[in-house]
Amino acid sequence: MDARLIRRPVLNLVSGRGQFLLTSTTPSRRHESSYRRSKQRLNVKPDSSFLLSNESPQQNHIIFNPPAAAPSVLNTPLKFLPKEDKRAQRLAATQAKLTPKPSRLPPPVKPPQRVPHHHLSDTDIAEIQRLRREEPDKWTSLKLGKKFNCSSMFITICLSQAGADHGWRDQKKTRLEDIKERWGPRRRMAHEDKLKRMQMALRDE
Amino acid sequence: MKRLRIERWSGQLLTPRTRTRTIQPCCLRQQQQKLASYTARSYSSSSAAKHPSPDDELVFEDEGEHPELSASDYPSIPSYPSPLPSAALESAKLAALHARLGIPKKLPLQTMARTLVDPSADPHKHFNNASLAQLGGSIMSYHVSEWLLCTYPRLPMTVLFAAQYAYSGPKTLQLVAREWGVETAAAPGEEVDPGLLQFSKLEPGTKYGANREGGTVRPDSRSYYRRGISSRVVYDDEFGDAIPKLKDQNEPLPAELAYSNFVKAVIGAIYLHSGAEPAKTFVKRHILSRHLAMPGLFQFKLPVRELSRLCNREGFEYPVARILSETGRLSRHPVFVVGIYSGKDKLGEGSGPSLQEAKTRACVASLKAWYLYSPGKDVPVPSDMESGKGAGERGWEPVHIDMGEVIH
Repeated sequence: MDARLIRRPVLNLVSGRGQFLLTSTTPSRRHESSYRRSKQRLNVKPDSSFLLSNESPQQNHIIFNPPAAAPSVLNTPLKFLPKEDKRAQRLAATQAKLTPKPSRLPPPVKPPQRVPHHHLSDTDIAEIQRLRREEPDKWTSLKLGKKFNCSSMFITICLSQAGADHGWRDQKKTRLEDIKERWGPRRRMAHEDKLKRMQMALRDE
Repeated sequence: MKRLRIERWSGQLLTPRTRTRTIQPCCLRQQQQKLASYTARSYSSSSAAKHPSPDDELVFEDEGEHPELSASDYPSIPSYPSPLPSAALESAKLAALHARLGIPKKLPLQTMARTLVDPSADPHKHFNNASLAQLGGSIMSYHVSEWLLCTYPRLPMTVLFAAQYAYSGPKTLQLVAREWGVETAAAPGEEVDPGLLQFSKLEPGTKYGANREGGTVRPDSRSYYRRGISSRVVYDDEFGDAIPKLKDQNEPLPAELAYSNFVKAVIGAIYLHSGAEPAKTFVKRHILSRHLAMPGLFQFKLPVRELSRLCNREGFEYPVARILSETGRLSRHPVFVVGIYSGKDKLGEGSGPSLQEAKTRACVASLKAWYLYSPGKDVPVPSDMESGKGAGERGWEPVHIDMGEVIH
């Protein structure tokens, strides 16, 4: 969690119950110039899940077919329910019946890195720090990670512990500033929008 | 000439000491007391003891009817800073407010009138709402916080502070009081209708508490000290804000603070006149019945790392981001749907225009799903046990108490 207090306008967050009446009264707009045209446009074929098939029940029945939407965060996943919660067992039984666990999971976003752990000695770490100190441009974290068969995260930790990384960091910063200086208005705006989008993602907006 | 009978003024609210004394200079501002030497003498109990004649109980409001005093040494007419308690019985506004809120009949109109007088309007403690607001504020924040803690046991401390502020902060209480139909008096005074909220209004353009001295009650008052969340729990108020050390009660204040003091005072008055249970019901109906969009209060800094720390702490498998679906990867507007899996269980999913953003959103959704766990809508709260019906039927079932937020 972010360690500062979040103060949003209260009006957006707290609302009386009666407020929802107002929101539903926005006028609907017709974009077609004639009734016939708009009627024609709206006459789309229903989704196959709404149509009767041979398997569908013969009597009157209720179709529960909600549109595809992102799952609500208020529905706690089964794994997150505490052990003493009475709903956990019932939910587990229902979930096992309705949605059996898939045998094959979807592909990962990034293939998992297979790097050995705890295999570098103190001399190796000293070597990493020496290489970086002498030729910071050549020995980036990625290259050092490949050479010593470890993650670049581990390299970063080694270098931050050495305390000799500050000059390199400042150089990198100034170089980035120079590049940003050369940007035109469109690229600058696109960059700012990207940063804003990332902040919005952290707030889940 | 008019005779004032102080004995009849809202008998329950005056202390016994006040009631035994015939007339007390309690309603007057101090400077008026200094100025009005004659009136002060006639008011004071010492002079009443010396001359126990009925004339000493009189308050002279008409200058002309006192022949023995010349116009120069007779002081200006003493006017009270707030309306007299007897005026409460004649105010239509006040009676309507009392009826509209469904306040128990035990609470008299005089007390209702007192809840509408801010210390900035009447500095005397027996005639303003300061003590009632203090009591009612603690009762309200107790009920709100116990409800929040039992309904959402895993909320991080910052979100808990924000939720407390959204339910019982001054801005919300101002909304509540305005919905009740309470209006403010233009300026406090004796002639004001007792059904109006009376306080000294802050001049436009001035900042509240700007020239206040004395700092806060925190021991680490230096500006460069870190003000962590744990120290806020110990030193600060229920919203995580610092409490000022010295506060001038006569200081003009913004409308939202006056309104919030009024709402708190109403709760305090209900507690005093009808008991704990009606006060709790009142808080439930007017404060806790409001809908708060709890998922909107969260803001994360490093959600990916926080989620991996959470899974490590709880003994779940390491969370892996997996692509559930995607469209237009090479187009201008691609959409990726990414799910976070721990083992074979899906923890959350999110969508975005890049894999990175979709993954961040999925992690945020999973963390929110963890923090927003709720045992149910009507979770028993500790104060249910105090009333007869909750305690009698079945014993106390312990609520879920969480380990605390994830530290990464």
